[in-house]
Amino acid sequence: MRILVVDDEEAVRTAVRRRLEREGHTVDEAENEADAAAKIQASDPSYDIVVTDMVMNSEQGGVEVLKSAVGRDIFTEVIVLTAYGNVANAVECMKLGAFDYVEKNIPGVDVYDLLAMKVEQALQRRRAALATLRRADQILKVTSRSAE
Amino acid sequence: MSEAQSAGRENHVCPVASTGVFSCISRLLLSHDRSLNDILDAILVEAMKAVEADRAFIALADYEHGELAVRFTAGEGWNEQNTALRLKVSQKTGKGITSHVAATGRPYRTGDVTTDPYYISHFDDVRSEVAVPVVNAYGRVEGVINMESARADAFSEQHEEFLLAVANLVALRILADQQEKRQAALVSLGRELARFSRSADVFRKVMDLVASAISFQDCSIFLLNPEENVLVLEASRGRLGEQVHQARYRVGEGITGWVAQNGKPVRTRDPRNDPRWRGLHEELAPETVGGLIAVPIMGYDRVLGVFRVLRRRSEYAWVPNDFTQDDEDFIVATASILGAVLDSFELVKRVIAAERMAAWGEMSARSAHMIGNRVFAIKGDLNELRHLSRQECSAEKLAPVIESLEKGIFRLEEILAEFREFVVATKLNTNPVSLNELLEEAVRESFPRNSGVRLELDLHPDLPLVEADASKLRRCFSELVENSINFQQEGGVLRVSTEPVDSDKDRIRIVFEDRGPGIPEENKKLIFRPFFSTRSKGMGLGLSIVKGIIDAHRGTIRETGEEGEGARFEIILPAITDTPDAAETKAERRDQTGD
Repeated sequence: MRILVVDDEEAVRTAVRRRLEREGHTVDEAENEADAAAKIQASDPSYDIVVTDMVMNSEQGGVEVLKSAVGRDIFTEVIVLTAYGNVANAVECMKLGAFDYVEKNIPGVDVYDLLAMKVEQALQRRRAALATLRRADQILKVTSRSAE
Repeated sequence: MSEAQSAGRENHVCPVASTGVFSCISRLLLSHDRSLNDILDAILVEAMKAVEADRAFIALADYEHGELAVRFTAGEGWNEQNTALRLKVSQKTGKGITSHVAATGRPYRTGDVTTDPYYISHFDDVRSEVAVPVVNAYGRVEGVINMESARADAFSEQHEEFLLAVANLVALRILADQQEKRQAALVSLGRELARFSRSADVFRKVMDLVASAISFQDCSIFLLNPEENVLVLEASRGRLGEQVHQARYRVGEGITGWVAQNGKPVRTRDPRNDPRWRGLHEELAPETVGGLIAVPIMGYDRVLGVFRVLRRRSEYAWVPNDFTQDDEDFIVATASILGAVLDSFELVKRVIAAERMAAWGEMSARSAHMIGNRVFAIKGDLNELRHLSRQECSAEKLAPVIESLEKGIFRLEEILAEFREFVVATKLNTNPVSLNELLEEAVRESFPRNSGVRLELDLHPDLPLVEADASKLRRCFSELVENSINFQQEGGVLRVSTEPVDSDKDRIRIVFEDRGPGIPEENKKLIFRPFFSTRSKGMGLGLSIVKGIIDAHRGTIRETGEEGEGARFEIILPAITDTPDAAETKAERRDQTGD
C-alpha cells in the first residue's frame, strides 16, 4: 500500500516511515504542505493513506494536506499527527473527513504501534469503501444491462 | 536720606535723564546674545559716563560668606589688588559706604568723603561718592553700584535717582537671568531624565540641577514605600547621605511625613517652631536651619515621595534666609518632573515584565511543541530497537538507529540549553564596559580564520562607556557574527560599526551589516521569536535571546535590511552619561559670586 508521510521534522518522518515500511507499505515523505500537495497531485495511482503533521508552516497545515489528498482521491484516508495542545485542530480535521488523529506524545504509550494500527484500520475502511464502490458499479452495470 | 550730605553746592547740570542713556542701557539689558557679565560691564561704563564719575564699580553679594565682592570696574586706578576687593557687610560707621548701603538696602551719597563717617579709603583721589543698592523683587540685596569722583559735590539727587533706576533695571535682569537659568534647568532635566535607567542617577541629577539654580546647603529625597506606609531616604547631598535607605518617616510624621500625607508643600523659615516638626533626620543642626521647603513628589495617581531643601541660617543679619515663592515653585516643578520619571520607570518595568511574560508563554508553548516532536522521534527509534531486538540482527542495522537516538537526545539538550539561556538572559551582572573592545573580542572569537567573508570594522574612536554585562553582550555580538557568516557561505562582507546616535553621546548605535540574502519582509517580525530559525543546523543562542539580552540592557534591536541586499541588525544601547552641564553651571555660579 502507498503511504505519504508529511512532517517538517526529518527525524519524525524517518521514524514513521521506518515503522510503516516494517508493515510492508511503500512510504514517501513530504516536508511541508506545499511539498505534500505537489506529491499528492503527481501520484498515480493516488496514495492510499496520508499521515500528516498538524502544525507546519501554518497552524492549519494538516487541513491543507487533507484538502489536497481528498481533492486527488476522495477515498484516500488521512491520519493527522498532533503535538501537545493541538487536539482542537485535529478534531477540526476529523470534521472535514480525516480518518482519525494520533497524539504524538501520549505518556507510556508506544504511539508507533498505535499509528500502525490506525493505518491498518484506515486501509480497511478504504478497502471497504472501494469494494462498495465496485459493487455499486457492478450493480449499476447489471441493472443497466437488464434494462436494455 | 538724612545721612546724605547736601548735594548741589555747585550747580552742576548733567544730562543723566536723557533718553539716550536710558535707551542705551535698556537695549543692553534686553540683549540676548550677551552674558550677564558682559551686560553689567557695559552698563557700568555707560552709567559712569552719564553721571560723569571718574571711577565706578559693582559689587555683588556673596550670601555664603556675608560679603560683597567687587565684580565689575570702570574708570582709572584699578589694579589686581583692588579689583579683588571683598567687603564685609556692616551697618557700622567706618566700615565703608558700599557695605553700609548693602546692609541698609538704601542709597547713600556724600559730597565730601573726608568728613563722611562711613567712608573708608581705597583710592587717594576720591572726594564725592554715591552708592545705590541693587534690590530684587523679594527685597534681597543682590549688590551695590558705586560711583566716585575727584570733585567735591559731584553727584546730585538726580544722579542718585538715575543710578537707582539703573540698579532696579539691573536687579530685574539678574532676576530674569535666574529665572532663565531655572527654566533651562527644568528643560534639561525633562530632556535628560528620560535616558537615565537607574533611579539613583536621576536623584543625583535632580539634586545637582536644583543646586545649580537655588542656593541652599542641603537637600534630600524620600520615597514612599506604600506597603509599609513609610518614607525612606533615597538620596541626600550632605551628612544624611550616610543614612540612605535607613532614615525613615512614617506617613504623617514630622513635616516630611505631613507633606506626603497631604500632598502639599511646606515652606518655613523656622521649622523648629512648626508644630509638625519632629527633627528625626536632619541635614543640618536644627538650630542652624534658616529655611526649609518640602514638596511632595507627585506621581500619576499618588504621592511617590518628598523632596526637601534646607538653607542654613546666615550669621549675617543682612542676608535673607527664607526661600521665596519662586524657589518653592521651582522645586515643585522639579519634583513633578521627578514624579513623572519615577512613574515612567515603574511603567517601563511593567512593560518589560509583560513583554517577558508574553515571551515566556510563547517560549513554553514552542518548547513543549519541539520537545514533544523530539520525544516522538526518540520513541520511534526505541520502537525500532525493540523490533530489532526480537530478531537476529547485525550491528549495521543497529548503528543508524542508535545514531538517530543520540541526535534526538542531543537536540533535546540543545532545547534545554536554549531554555536556560532564555531564563538567565535578563539577569545581568553589569559594569562600565567599552563597546568597541567588546566588539573586537567578540569578532576575534567568532570570526573564522579562513572565511570567504570580508570583515570591515568601523568603530567610532570616541565612545562613552556603557553599563553592561560584558559576557552576555559579547555572546550577543558573537551570535550576530556567526549568523552573518552562516548566511554568506559563498563569501561576502560583514561590516560592524559603532557610532553615537547623536551629539549628546547618550546612546550608541551598533550595526551588523552583511551582503547575505537578507531577511524576507514576512520574517522580520518572527526572527526575534523563540526557536525561530531558517538554518537547519547550528547551536547559537538564537535571536530571541539576543533580543532578551539587549532589552535587559534597556536597548533596542531591529532588523532594517532589505531582502536580497543583506541583513542589517541595528542595536541601540544607552551610554553612561556623567552630568557635565551641572558642573558647568556650578562653576559659573562660583564665578559670578566671585569666591
